[in-house]
Amino acid sequence: MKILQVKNLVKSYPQTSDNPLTVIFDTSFDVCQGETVAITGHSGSGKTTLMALLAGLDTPDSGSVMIRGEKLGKMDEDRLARFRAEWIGIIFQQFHLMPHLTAKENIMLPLEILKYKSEDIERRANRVLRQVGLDKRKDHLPSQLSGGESQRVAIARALVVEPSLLLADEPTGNLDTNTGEQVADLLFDLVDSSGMTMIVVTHNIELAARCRRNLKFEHGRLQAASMGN
Amino acid sequence: MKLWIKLALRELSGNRKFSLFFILNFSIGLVGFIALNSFNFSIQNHLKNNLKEILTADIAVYSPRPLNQKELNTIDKVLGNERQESHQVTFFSMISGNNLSRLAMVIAIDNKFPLYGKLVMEKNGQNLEDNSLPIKDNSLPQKKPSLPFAWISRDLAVTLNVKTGDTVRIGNMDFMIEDIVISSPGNSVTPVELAPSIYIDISNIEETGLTGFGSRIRYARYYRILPETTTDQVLMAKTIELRNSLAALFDGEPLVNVYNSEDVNRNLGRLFGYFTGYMGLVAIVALFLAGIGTSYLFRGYLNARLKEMAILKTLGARRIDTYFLMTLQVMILGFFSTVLSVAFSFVLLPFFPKVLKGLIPVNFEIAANPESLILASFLGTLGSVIFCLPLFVRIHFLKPLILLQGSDRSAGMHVNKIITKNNLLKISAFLPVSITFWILAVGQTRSFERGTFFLLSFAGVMLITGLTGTFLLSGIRFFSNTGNPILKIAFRNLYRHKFSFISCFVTIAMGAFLINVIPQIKNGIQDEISRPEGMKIPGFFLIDIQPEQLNELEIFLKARGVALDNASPMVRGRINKVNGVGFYDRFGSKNKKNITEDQNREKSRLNAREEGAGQGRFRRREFNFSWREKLDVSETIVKGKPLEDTPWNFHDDKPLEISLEEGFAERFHLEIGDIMLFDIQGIPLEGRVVNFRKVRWNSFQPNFFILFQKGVLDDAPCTYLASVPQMPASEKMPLQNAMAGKFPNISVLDVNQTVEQLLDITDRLTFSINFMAWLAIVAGLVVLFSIVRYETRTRSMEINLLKVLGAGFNDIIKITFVEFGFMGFSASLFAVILSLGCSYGISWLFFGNLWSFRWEYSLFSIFSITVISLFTVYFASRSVIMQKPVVLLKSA
Repeated sequence: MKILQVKNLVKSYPQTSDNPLTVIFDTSFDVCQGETVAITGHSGSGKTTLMALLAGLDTPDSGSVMIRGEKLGKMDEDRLARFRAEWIGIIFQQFHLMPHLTAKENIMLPLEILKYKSEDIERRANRVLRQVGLDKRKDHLPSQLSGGESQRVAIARALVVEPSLLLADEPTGNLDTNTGEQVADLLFDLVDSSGMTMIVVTHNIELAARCRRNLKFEHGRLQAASMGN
Repeated sequence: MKLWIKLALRELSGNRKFSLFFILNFSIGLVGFIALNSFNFSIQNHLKNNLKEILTADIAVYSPRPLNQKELNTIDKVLGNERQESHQVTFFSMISGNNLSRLAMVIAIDNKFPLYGKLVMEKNGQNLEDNSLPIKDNSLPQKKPSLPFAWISRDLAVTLNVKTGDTVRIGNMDFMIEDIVISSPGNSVTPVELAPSIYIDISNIEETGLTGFGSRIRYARYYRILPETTTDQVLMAKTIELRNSLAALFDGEPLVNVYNSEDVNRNLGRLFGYFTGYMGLVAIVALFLAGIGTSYLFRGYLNARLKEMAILKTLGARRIDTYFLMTLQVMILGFFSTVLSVAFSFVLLPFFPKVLKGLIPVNFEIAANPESLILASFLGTLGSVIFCLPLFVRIHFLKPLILLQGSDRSAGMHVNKIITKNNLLKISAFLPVSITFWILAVGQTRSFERGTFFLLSFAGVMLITGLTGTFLLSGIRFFSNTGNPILKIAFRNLYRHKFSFISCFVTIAMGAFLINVIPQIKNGIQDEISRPEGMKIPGFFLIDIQPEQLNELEIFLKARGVALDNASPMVRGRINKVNGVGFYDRFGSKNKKNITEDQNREKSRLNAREEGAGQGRFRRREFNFSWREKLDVSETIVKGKPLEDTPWNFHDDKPLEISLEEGFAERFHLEIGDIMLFDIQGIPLEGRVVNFRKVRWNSFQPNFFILFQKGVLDDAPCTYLASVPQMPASEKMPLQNAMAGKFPNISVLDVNQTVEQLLDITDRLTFSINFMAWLAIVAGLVVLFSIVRYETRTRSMEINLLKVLGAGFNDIIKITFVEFGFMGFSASLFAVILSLGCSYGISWLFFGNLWSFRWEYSLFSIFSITVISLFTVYFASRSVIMQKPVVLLKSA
């Protein structure tokens, strides 16, 4: 079952000169339920822009992004926000945790926004805290956590709503090699065990290799697709 | 909802410094406004609850002569028999006692006084164990003492050094002091007490011999309408009916005036309105400056929060949720600002009665009232949101995409780019602030025109200041082309951060402008009151000199080595017509027999105009006329030709020539060439206006609104006004006492004492206005602090780089001091120049060019504001400057 369908996607940015800078050229691909896909490429290849378009954080000039059969382009901002909260989990390279909330509160936040019952919120948050191994650090503020711990909180926060699609932007990019590997292990374990679909934007070859499929981007174009391990 | 409240509280508690600063800053702006409004509400409530006690009746009828039978019948007919009635006669007279004398207001009362309220007396209190002040029974003593009795005010008792049981003399009669009056209902509100009061029995006034011709006596009849349940509407209807019925008995303007508690309310409300209105406008400026500071603080906070809001948006928060989150935070802070400012204002409130002593009711007590608390809460919570509203545009343009785009600072920069392109949105975001201030200004001045004028003037001054700041920036750019690296960096920082420079420049300049403009205006007035240029203020001003006393008085004074100056005859009369139209009809209704409530309001408005021009409490029915051999040095002709030197001939067809005081002519819309018909003691006289005079009233010389050509009033019954030159203080009291003994009917006004009283009140009012202005300056400094703090933080990278490149701590401090010292100095210098210009303009427009420059004050304010600015900057930037570069590099 196709969970993500990208068709003829084009994105450009206006420049001071008359010619806009096109960063995504006529890109199409599909992703099926349970797949893990890596989008790789050099800096400036357009992979982060593609990630933004997939998450509905930016709008394409033309083409469409369809998730679970719904076109993101047809949604207004509020509807998009709600759709994203329900079906898309996002993990950022810089973690982006709420600094004044504890680890557990950060994890509970999306559930609270979606107005889950308090007992459900508590249950899900505790479960995912255990899954990422932070149940003993749950009351710590982000400033009191290490980089690896912060990213684990970010992963837990993305997973706690059990999204259909998980988008990860360089999830290990801000971590040292060892911690990065540990976080990657955790991420893939959780995704595998839940049967979730994940797209990882990265230039880390090892991380990309752990995905089932690898889409390589160069100069805004999808150059090649290969199967991972 | 619960989630957003929790988040809002958590964010605020996570940013304690910002929260505390926001609260402190906004509460400084609010405190003056809230204190003033609490005072205003309290005084309004006091007046509302005590109106009948202040008037001492439901309806009062005043007249300059006893009412005739026809008028009494009219009163009976309109008010009916179900009523209580009290009679009163008041006049000014010299009171002697214990070899001392003093001008006092004699209030002759009957045993029904007061119909409402109580006389609080001292004597009975001494016998009470609890020492509480007793309430005097509303009746005269049952056992009359051997001498006629008098109750005197405490002030008078102190001045004359008399006590209960002593004797005082009024005119030809001695009175025994039966008790001392602590407060009386009728006198509980007096704007400025020209003379203290003394109460006597109304049956004694004839025997004083002071009610003869020329005495300025007011007759009053007070009515309490029964039953007690009579509504205010019925009382108002009766007042209007009585006013119309009595007016119908007169051909011209009625001599009889009818007042009710509503009139008292209007008059007193207006009196306090002038003062509180002016202070209120200064408070608005302080609030505005605090608002700038608040929004600047919030700008920094919001920029830091943009990333978090973007995170929330990626997690599913709608745009409205993010608005709500920020609004809630601002409202919470605004609410705490209110709480703090209410607490501050309660500390301030007790000072109001002290500062306004003599201007507010004696028994007035300031109490917390719901109205001012509601206003405070509204201003604190919604006001803070309104101030921050222009910044909410940033949330509108925030896209979660920024989370994929690098550092935190890029969020703000990204939003800035979008906002810069949207001028319409930027301008419209400022509309709510502008409208709120306009409403506040109109509310404070109680006038659409004055409020709008204030706001436009304020905007004008801000615009001029802003433009000057912009102009200065180009000069600063020039200064930066120097070889001195400190100056170069400092000046470059200034012109490269245009927005922060202009914000700081405008706020400091506005505060400095306020603290300079008011004292500058006051200086001129104070100089003029205490020593009018080219004039000698007399020692005494003598009133009600009978013609036959003039020679005797002159000889009496000469024997004591004192001259009698400027003896001016004064004849009382009425103006019937101007250019064939009734003088009364020119201002009021055409058909006075059917005066409607609207027309009454119009009349009140005209009365208010007259009051505003300083004419007195009531609209004049009679005027004083005089003539002169030559003009006094205190008056000059400003328009028209001098009066004919030759005496006017009664048999001449030519109208007599008239000279008018220019303010009087303006107030009553009179022009040169107007033909005026007078009634002088029953004789009709026609005159033509030939000139306008400018009169220096503060010279305390006998001056008149209307002067007639010589010969016109020669045979008319008159009294004289005169003055006595200054003399050593030790000689004043003996002379005053001697005059009071020899000429009891002549009122002697101690000019120095009156000037001192006026200056004392001016000083106290200036103090309170200056306090508000300093509040504005403090608000301005908090803005400066906020801006500097924000700027040094955003420039921490640059500061760090300077350090890495070899700049020492002292160099950084020098750069900062040069930067902000220049800002403080240039802003305060500009403000002083602007305030001098404005104060000169205001003095020229409203105070007859009474202006004097005191360089010491201007210099002090420039110096102090610059130094305070430097201190503020030091404390605001210290934490960033003191950091080690490595820490800054980490945070970057």
